[in-house]
Amino acid sequence: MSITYLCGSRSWPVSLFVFALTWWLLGSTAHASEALKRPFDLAPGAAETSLKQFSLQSGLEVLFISESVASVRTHAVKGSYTPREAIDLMLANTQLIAVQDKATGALRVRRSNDPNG
Amino acid sequence: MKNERGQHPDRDQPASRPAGRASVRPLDWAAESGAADDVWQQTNLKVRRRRRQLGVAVGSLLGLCLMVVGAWHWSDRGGGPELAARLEDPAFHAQVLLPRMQHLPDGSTIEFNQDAQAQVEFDERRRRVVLVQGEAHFQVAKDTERPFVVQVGNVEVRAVGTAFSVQLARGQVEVLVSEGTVAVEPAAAQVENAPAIQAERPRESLAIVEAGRRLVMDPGSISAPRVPLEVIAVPPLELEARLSWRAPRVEFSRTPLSEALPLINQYNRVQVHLGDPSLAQVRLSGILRADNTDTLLRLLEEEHGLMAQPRGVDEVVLTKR
Repeated sequence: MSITYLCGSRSWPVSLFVFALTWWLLGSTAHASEALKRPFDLAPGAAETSLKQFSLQSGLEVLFISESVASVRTHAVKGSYTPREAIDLMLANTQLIAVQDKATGALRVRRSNDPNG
Repeated sequence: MKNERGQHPDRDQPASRPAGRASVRPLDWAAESGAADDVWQQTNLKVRRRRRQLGVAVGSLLGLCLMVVGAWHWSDRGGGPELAARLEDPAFHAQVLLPRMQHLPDGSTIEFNQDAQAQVEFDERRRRVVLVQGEAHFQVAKDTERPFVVQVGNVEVRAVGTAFSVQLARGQVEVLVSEGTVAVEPAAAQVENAPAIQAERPRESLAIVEAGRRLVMDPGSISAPRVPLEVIAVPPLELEARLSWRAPRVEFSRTPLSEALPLINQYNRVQVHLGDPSLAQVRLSGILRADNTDTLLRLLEEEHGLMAQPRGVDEVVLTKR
């Protein structure tokens, strides 16, 4: 999961790869927790509102700079998903990405620097 | 925190509190719920010697007074005149989200998340709560004579002395156990021809859920006989995240930093201040635990190019890079 989100800064591809690999190898418990699915029912709408709905339904904290999500609309998500899957579906093909704080588990949402991201 | 909550009656919140969303009453909140644990700990140190000589009731009163004084002191440091101005400003776009709490006559407590609804049906033989919708966390007082039963849809979750949450949302029931063990059974109405007296006897369990585990089921599947129910281990971090709604959270809606920081500062020892007045109009949105300054600072540093510089042990100053 982390590789996609770390690719924004391309200056240290090797160290990032090593970091991502280490994260993947050591993070088996984190991945186990990611596997827990929950029911989501999110309507499409302005990111300002729908991201907070996501927070209430997933239990995860979500924080962003208001202007960075201005005029972005997110997709509907309905069904049983892990929080990571749900937010990725919401933000698919928008200019937004969600980065999870390793220490607190909270999600920071920001504009993607990478046009492919 | 759980134990402390039980020991300090001054922390009780009135059961009649409006659901889920409290308007911003930070000082009331600190005094009522006492979840300003840092304030509590600091004041507690100062009065520990005196408290030993006093009775429990007097001690609790003193604690309450000191928490109120402590909360005032802290909010003064965090906001000063700005705080007073904010409380009068009707355009203030932030609110504190707190679970609504209900104290039951047996000493058990229920915390309700957002739009949760339940009916409490206690008598001399049984302690029963019917969860109508939403999510609730139950801290159950031990009473071997009267099992504590939460009915949700067509199943019952039975506990003796334990802590667990039950959620009925979007067509799915989830049972999450944080302490002890619960048994999940068909609800009394599901057991055919069950005489009333038998209804309170333990029935055949559909599943046993131990601490650190969760059960998810579709209530409709219970009528199908012998469908094995899967109980999954929940890693401690995930458990904490799933129950994080029990801690105070702050909801921001395009809230300028000049208003967001004083609010956050009331919940934290480390105080965040603006080193550059032009940053006051940077606006935040989202839902954040009130004690999570880490994520707030990281967002401002990495997503908005600010610098967070520590000044002393309990102050951080934000400046432009």
